[in-house]
Formats: sequence, C-alpha cells, structure tokens
Amino acid sequence: MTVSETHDVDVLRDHPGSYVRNERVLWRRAAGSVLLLRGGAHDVVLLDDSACLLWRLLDRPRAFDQIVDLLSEAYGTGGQQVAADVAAALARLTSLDVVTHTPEDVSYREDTG
Amino acid sequence: MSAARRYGAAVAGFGLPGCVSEWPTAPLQGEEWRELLRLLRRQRLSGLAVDAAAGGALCLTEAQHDQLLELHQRAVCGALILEAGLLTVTDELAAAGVESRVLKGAAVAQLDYRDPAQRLFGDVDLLVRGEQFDEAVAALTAAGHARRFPQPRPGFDRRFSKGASFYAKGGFEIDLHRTFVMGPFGLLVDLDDVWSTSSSFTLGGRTLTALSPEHRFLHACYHSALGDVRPRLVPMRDVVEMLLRGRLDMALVRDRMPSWQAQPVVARAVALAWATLNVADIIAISAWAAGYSFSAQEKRFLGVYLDPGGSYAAKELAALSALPGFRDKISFLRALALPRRDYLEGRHAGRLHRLRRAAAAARRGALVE
Repeated sequence: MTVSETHDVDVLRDHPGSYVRNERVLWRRAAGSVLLLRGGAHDVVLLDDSACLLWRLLDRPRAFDQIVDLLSEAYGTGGQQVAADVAAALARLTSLDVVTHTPEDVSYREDTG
Repeated sequence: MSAARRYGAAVAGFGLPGCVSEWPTAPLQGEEWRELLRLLRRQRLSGLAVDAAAGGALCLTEAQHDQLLELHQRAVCGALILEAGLLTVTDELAAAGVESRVLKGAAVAQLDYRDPAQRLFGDVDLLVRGEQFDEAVAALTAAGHARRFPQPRPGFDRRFSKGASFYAKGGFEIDLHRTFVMGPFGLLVDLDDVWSTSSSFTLGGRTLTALSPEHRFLHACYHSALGDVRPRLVPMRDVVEMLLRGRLDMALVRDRMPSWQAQPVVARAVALAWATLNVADIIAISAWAAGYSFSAQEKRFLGVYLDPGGSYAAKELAALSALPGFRDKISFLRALALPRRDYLEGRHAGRLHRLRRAAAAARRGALVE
C-alpha cells in the first residue's frame, strides 16, 4: 500500500480496507451536485462539490490513502487536512449506507490496472 | 410564438449537432422568464436548460440561475424516486412471472442520453405481453397499486387496449403498456417484432430490460407524433438524439415501418422534430420525412390523435379498421358499445352518451397538414 508522506499514520490506521459506492444506490449528477437515493429510502441525499469528487472516485474500490492522494492532487492542498475531510465524508457516506467499506484492500489502482 | 416557447424549443435542442436555434442575448425579464421557467418544469427540460446555461447559450441572471438549479434538483429527485418505484414494480411483476420491458424516459435516459440528468420523466412505463396482461394487472393490484379505469369488458386489455394506468402506492403513476399507443396505430404495431429483441441497462445494481435501439426510436416517434395534441418537446428531442447520436440500424427501421404501417407516424415525428428544434443538418430520414405524402387513410388515422376534441372512444372506433379479422372486429365493437357499468362510471352519462361522443369525434375526422 502506498502511503503519502504527508498523511497522519494514525488516520490511515483507522481506515484500513477499501471504500466503494453501494451499487444499490440510485444517483444523478445535477448541476455540480450529486443526488443519491438508497433502495427503500425516501430521502434524497445531496452531495456538495467536494463530496461529488469523492463520489466520482468511488466508482471502484479505493483505499483511504489512495483517495486522499488523489484528492490532495486535485485540490493542490496538503494531505493532512484532506485526510481529515475525507475521513469525515466517508464516515457520513458509510453511515448513510451509500458507500460500502470492506476491511480488505481490494482497491483499484491505475498503475497496476 | 411566445419567447418562452421559442427558447424552450432551443433548450430542447441544446447540444445537438446541427441545431441552429435562436437564443436570448440578455436574460428574459418578468413574466417572460416566469413563463419560460413554467415551460421548463412542465416539459421536464431543466437538465438541458442547466447545461445550456453552463454552456453560455441561455443567458440568466444569478437569481434566475438559482431558480433553475432548484427546479432541476427537484426534477432529479423526482426521477430518482420514480426509478426506485420502477425497481419495485418490475420486482412485483417478475415475482408473478410477468416479463416486462422498461419504456420511455427511464430507459431512454440511461441508454440514449450522454447524461441521464438531461432526460427527465414523470411516470413509470412498462411493456408487458398481451397474453400476460391480466396477470400483470392482478400482480400490481395485489401489490396495492390502484388501477385508474377498469377495462370495458373482460379480455379487452389483453387483445385490444394500449394498456392500463395505475396510481402507485408510492404516489406516482404506472403506465402498463400492451402496445405503444391506443387507436389504430397501436393495433398495427407488430408486438412479436417488439418482443423479439431487447437492450439492457443497470439501475441500482440491477439489470433491467428495455426495447432495442431501433424499437426505442420507433416508440419515440409514436410518443412524439401521437402522444399529445400539442406535441411535447422532450419526445422530439428523443427522436433527434437517437437519430443524430445513436447507433441505429436504419435498414431495420426501414424494414419495420411498412410492416407496422408506421411511415406516417415516423414521417410526422421526424419532420416535426426537425422543424421545432431547428435542426439544420439533413439526413436521409429527415429528407424523406419532409417530402412524405400522407394517404387519405393515414390522414384519417392521424386525425383522431390530433383532434383537440377527440376522445378515447373516437381513437378506438378508428381502430376498428386496423383490426384484421371479422371476429376481432365484433368483439372489439361489442366491448366499446356495451362496456360494463363500472367502466362508464364517472366518464359518461351512459352507453348512448359515450357512443354519441365517439361518433361525433370520428365524424370530425380532423386532417393533418
């Protein structure tokens, strides 16, 4: 697992495994936002700009550090703050059951295909 | 034509190759803007309008942009709720052993548009086989959905009708189709052809089945040309989107048209879409449609769909001549002339009233241009 030097190792230890969208979620991009509806639920969840990018990345399983690296690169900011934001966003998305967390690292990596 | 209608048509054609619509050079003001916003909501065009605004074609004030985004988010929420309903309904049908095909918006958005958020829809449309229609109605009724109108007589649904509408228990509408449209053109569609091929798409982790691309195009033509007296913009967009961006086997389309007697439907749909959405590009089918000469019978058939005072019964009376056999004609006439009492309740003062209205509408025989 590649770990960016800028990440807090404790944060990574708290987030082993990988994250991916729950395939049962219905969703649409709508003018910069993403709207999500879980199967059996009645409330639509609205993701803001930054969460939209996270949602886009989760079209395939990704490890926490990989997500942080990609978002740090996209925003051009330090990994520490991004790691904290990603941790919070993933906690919210998994609690809403729109993102699934698996303990094993089955993440997709562009460099290995 | 009002500014709202003109710019609404421009929005409907936004992003299509060869569309040469006129756009406002400054934001619309006051009532003109409110009228356009109402049109975008009614015609379910907010997705394309958002894209047109982002692309700089539709000029908006900041406040108008916010109103449009709010409208679009609401419309997208509606589409997601309908998709959830679609998954439930297809499960209910499958559990009863009824095979279905997803029709119109829910399928077209996923299969024919680059961005499904551009193609919004307002109900759930499904096709089921005539021989399974009664089972389908029973399954949906047992699941708690309420049929809007009963069939005129037992057996009418599975042999002659376009389909049946339901108020779904989730608060939306389900249109259960046996064929594409009511009336003569619906009876002329070869349903064995329709069921012989399919496409599939994934929704919420599930695989759903829709019509093949060519049959989706033909259905879009029926919807656009015959669905409303004043044609809606989204079905026109569907027609052009599929023709200019889809990968249709036009030889198959050309093969289906005469056997379904669909030439006048396709000609009207394509010509109307090309003119309304200001498509400058000329392709073989648009040139054919522009020069199509409607026969007297085709004009009479089209007339029952386009008559503003036309009734359900008038369409069905006109359908009589499209029925192949004498026994079918007798059964069909009997069902229309002597429907069950529960069928008439709330719709007609009685059987005679219904027949008089149908005959008057059929006599008007409005002709199309």
